[in-house]
Amino acid sequence: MPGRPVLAGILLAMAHATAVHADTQSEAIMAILAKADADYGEYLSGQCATCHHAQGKSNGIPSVLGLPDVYLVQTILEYKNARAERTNPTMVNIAKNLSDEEIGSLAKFLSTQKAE
Amino acid sequence: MYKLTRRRFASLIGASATGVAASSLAAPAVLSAAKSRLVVIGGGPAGATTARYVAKAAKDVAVTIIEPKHHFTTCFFSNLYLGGFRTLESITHGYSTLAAEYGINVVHDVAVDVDGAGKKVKLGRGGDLPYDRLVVTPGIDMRYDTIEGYSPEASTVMPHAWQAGTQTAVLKQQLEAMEDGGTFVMCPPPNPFRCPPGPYERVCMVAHYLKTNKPKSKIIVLDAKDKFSKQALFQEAWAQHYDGMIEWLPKEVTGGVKAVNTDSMEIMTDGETFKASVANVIPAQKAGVIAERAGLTADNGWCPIDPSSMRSKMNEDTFVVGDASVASAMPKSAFSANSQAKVAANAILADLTGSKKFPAKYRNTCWSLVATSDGVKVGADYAGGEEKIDVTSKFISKTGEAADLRAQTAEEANGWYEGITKDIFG
Repeated sequence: MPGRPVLAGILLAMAHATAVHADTQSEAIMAILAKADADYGEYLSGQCATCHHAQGKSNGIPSVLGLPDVYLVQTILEYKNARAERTNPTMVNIAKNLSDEEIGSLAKFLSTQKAE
Repeated sequence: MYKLTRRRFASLIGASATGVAASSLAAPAVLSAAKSRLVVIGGGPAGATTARYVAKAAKDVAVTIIEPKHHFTTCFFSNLYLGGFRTLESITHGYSTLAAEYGINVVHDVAVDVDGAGKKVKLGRGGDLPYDRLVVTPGIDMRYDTIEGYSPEASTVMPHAWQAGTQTAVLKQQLEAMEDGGTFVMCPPPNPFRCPPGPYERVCMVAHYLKTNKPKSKIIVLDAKDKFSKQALFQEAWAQHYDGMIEWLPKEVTGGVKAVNTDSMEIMTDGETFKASVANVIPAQKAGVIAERAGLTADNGWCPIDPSSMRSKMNEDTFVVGDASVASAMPKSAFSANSQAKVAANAILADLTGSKKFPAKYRNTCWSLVATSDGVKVGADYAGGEEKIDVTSKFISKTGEAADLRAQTAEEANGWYEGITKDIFG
């Protein structure tokens, strides 16, 4: 699993690759984050902690703690829309049940968390 | 939604717990009057998770877990111990973090009765624990009387190994002592039971052990059902990895297991007798006995709950979480129990602290290891409906998947084990 510097590189590359759609995409993400309720996000995140380690390890299942909220929203949307590289059926199934408010709330809360 | 009034509930409890009030002992004066009190019966995935999530969110709620064991061996991943992929130590967990980091009072005792009207739990070593909210998470008990000749004593010879720990170790020792060319007979239970794919993963893990160590041996599965969880995936694995070793006989063929004889190591169905070298007899199940004593069970032996909160339909101050509950579409699994615990914790916090109650959303995923680096999974998301917990969407691994995907799924299961056990025990 990628470490933080690698992840930053991936994010940067993704940002370049999607530059054309960047404005509309980031507007959509910002709109989703605007609906966020961090308390609801904390509650919902309990269901994530079953698999995604609270200790922030990436052993078989990647850590989701402390990642940027924009990246988290984008990633969950990619699972929800079943983008080619986001094929894990567990995450696809989870994401398709999340509303925009729930995605934003989760991203907002998880982004504020640090590995224990 | 069906709800009992307090008056009706009091009369029910009065009928089921006669004598408790009269013999009530002085409550231990350990709790500050200012704190509201949550008592959790059972320190497994359901109980420990509920306790941890309440304690984590509210310092002004005194949380107590009543659990006789000092160490908890997880039933999930115990099949991997039988297969030689895990040690028993690696699936055994203590309570020190819950006590030290979350301030949870872990009482190593048995809850022998509940006075629902007086809101007290009676402890085996004497004394009562008073509560404002109670969580009952006793897991399962066996219905020994559904198979003639089977009993707690018989289970030391023909282990069920469906409550992990000593039973699992006994089964492992028996497999290790078995001669090459012996017959392992497994009797999976009828529905509903703990961990629907569990018996069939166990068949894979025992087959893996035998193929590696005693390759002339055979496995016979005498099922109480005609179909089972992840059937196509397991049967694919049996053919692919353990060809010719496993014979699965559904109920429609044998009529199901009727009796066992531990002296002759025989298992009797309607018309046939099977001789076993090692017998793994898993009987029908019901909610753990304290649930029945507390008046929380329905006629079917399981505990009805409000799907929006896991609150007992028999007592509004009590929650039933995990295997003991009737969670409708959700299978009885540690993942389900851990998921339900968070919905229950949210509702308990709303009751005790006035915090916001959010919609009930649940999840389950069951991974099974079918051979070395070959994992499969099934899962679903759920929501609390008016009458029951409903599936919102589900998925399952496909037959014929590439080896690298199966290896990734097996690794994912290891990651899940680390994650869920940290989420349960801290």
